[in-house]
Amino acid sequence: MKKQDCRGFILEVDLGKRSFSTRETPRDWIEGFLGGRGLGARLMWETKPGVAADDPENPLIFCPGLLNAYPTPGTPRSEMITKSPATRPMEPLHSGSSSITYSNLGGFFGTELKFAGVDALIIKGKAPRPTMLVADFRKGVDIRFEDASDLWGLSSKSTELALRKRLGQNQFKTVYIGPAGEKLVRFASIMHKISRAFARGGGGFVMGSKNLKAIAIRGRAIPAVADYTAYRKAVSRLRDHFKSKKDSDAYQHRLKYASLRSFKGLAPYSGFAVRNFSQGYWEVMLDFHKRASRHWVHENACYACPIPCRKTPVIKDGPFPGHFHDSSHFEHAVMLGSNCGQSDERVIPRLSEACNELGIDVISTGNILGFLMDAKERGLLPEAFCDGIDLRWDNPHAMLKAIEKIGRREGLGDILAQGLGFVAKELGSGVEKFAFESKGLEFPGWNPKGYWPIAISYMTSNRGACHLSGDSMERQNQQAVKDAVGSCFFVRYITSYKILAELVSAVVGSEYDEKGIYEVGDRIYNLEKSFNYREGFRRADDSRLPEALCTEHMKARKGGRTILEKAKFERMLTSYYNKRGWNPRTSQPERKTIERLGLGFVPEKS
Amino acid sequence: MTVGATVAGLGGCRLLSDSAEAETNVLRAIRVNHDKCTGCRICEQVCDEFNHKLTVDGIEQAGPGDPHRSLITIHSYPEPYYVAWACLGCPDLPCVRACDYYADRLEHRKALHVDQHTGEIRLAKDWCAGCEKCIEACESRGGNVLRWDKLSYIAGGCNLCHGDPQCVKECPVEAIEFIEVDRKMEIKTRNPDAAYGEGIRHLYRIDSK
Repeated sequence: MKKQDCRGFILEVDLGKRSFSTRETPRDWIEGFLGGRGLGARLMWETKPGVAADDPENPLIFCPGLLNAYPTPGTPRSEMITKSPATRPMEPLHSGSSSITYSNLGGFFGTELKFAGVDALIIKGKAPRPTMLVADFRKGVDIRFEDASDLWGLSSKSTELALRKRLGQNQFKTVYIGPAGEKLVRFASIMHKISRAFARGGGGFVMGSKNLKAIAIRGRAIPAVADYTAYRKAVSRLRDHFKSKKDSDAYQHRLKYASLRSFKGLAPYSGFAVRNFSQGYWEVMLDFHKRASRHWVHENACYACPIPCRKTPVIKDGPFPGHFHDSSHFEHAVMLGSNCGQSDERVIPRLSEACNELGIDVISTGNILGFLMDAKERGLLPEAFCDGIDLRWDNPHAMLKAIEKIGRREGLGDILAQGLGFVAKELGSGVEKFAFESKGLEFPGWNPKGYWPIAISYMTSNRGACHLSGDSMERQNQQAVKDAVGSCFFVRYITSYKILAELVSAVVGSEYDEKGIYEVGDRIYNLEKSFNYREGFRRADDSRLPEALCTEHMKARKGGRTILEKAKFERMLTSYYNKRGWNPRTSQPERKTIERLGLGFVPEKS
Repeated sequence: MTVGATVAGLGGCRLLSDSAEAETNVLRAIRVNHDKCTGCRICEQVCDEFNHKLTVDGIEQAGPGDPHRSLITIHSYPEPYYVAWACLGCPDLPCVRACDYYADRLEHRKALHVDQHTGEIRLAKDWCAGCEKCIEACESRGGNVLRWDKLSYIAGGCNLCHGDPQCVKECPVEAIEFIEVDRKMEIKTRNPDAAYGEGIRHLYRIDSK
């Protein structure tokens, strides 16, 4: 049988001109970058330097992971790539300088893009009024720009319901922004099925700046593969591998408690955020996963995944009874929970539901609220700033009010919507050192004071503070390639990367072994770094950690007090750069690194 | 428990007589427990793999796993609740009635017809014109489980994988069961939307809109 091609096409849409074009995905892009975060980085490189995040020229790119549409367990995640509205270099080279940002989403959106044959959906331009993009690929390419004035201002749930009414039941897969994206909150997310999201990095801001409320996709069939026999073999092997892992702790913990068990995992290091990162450990959170799981009545999974990690709770008592869409994420529980002095498992689903309804990132929101509460406790928060909200620790009603204000940018929320760095600067008076962000993006819930390797991840991640980026070069490359094929971080101890490499070889039609596939990750990471370097990100941006990490002592669980030593981290950063083949003074990838990875198009001088 | 009784969260029952047991009163069917369904669509994938086998490199191999051609369909809804739906064998056969093309006029056998022996809904593919009216009829009932495959001209409902349903075997949460039912049992034709409404009423205590 003739070798088939797994490639689809790149769909580029211009909202201003209401036009679209398609082109074949270049073969060497698929081979070199696979898809997802990799292909997105390659496409971002094509834009001219210094385009601001809210510039119509800034592309909003959706790239499904390479394996999204195939029946392979644990590979449902698609990627959103754009210019970050949150980050900013210390010495910008252009007025619109910021880093690349990427964020991934489970569920069914990437799968549907792949079913449509789309390897990358690029959205450029700015619509004159609220618009939604409807792309139906069942019979050829049918792209419609529909008026979305009636959807403007609707919350996630109302938008989902309205879209279903408009497009018919069931078949279109949609992503949309909530009111926060429309109002240009800098950490707005892009929502899918009400509670799934391209959450971090501010994709919702970019989508809102384009006046694009929603995207609806309908595909037709599974994409072809290059080597069918090898593909079938690898799919069966991966399924068997998942089944063989069924009795392992990693599998069972994820099945029973989703990611919530991380509290227990991080406790020995004193490694999670408590009260704005001032503590790394809180006794009451250790059984959080057990308390939370009592309220769960239903489970959902992403495409083709046997582990349903999204749990739906019905809360019968407490201050906010009711049913909620989601409550099983460690990051929700730590950022809206322990970081804000909150330990009640019955409250957190309501708070994360509020964030989802408005379409804002839970991590950034929790971090900002924790920061304000910390500042209030230290007496550094002027009463006038609070806008009548009682921002004490453990006050869920106040948090709910503040979340609403952020999402709608009213009063206090108008300032908070600009992100943590801006808020800290606005407040001034010595409070900046408690603002836990890196390059402009807020810290997620892993506390570097206790679990120090994560500091490397926060410092060197290409999108700003990111707990998924990886704390060493190897892990970072691994993570980049996982994001390119769509493999989920959550199943990292269950899935087999050897079989995934076989699958990728069978689908693409060129050989990758485990080492070869990490080289793809290396390539992606270096290209993203080169992009950031072109914008003006230097070593000083990487090594800039919040001052409090190095000056405020924390009592560790094992006894003793921990603190980050600035000098030690500078040394670690230098050795990281050397290992990467980057210039340790400027952080620029060296020429020979660039050449080795086949990134010759990256110029020597920027 | 009586199958087909409208117990909240239970439904999606498809009847088929095993040809060997055609004389007895026992029929086999699958039953989906919607409360357990996680919406992962693995049943759709294994269905296509089993029912649309491909011959590649001279070997007969499993199909690609395309949910668009699956004979079981997961209906997804705004609330986290999924309804897996296979052909119910509606007593009034809307899909067969919609078919305009005859395979055998004397016997009134249409291109899409019920196999007299097995009860399966089958397509005589030489006579199918590809008008897709049967599929529209099924969609209008909200079922959306009939497939017409442009490549292989296969239309029809679930055939229980000739007695070895793959969805039952592969469902990771054991939401699908293979059961025996009485031939004389009355088939209730609900649609997935109704099952969803019932499901979220008893699970989340809310009404669907």
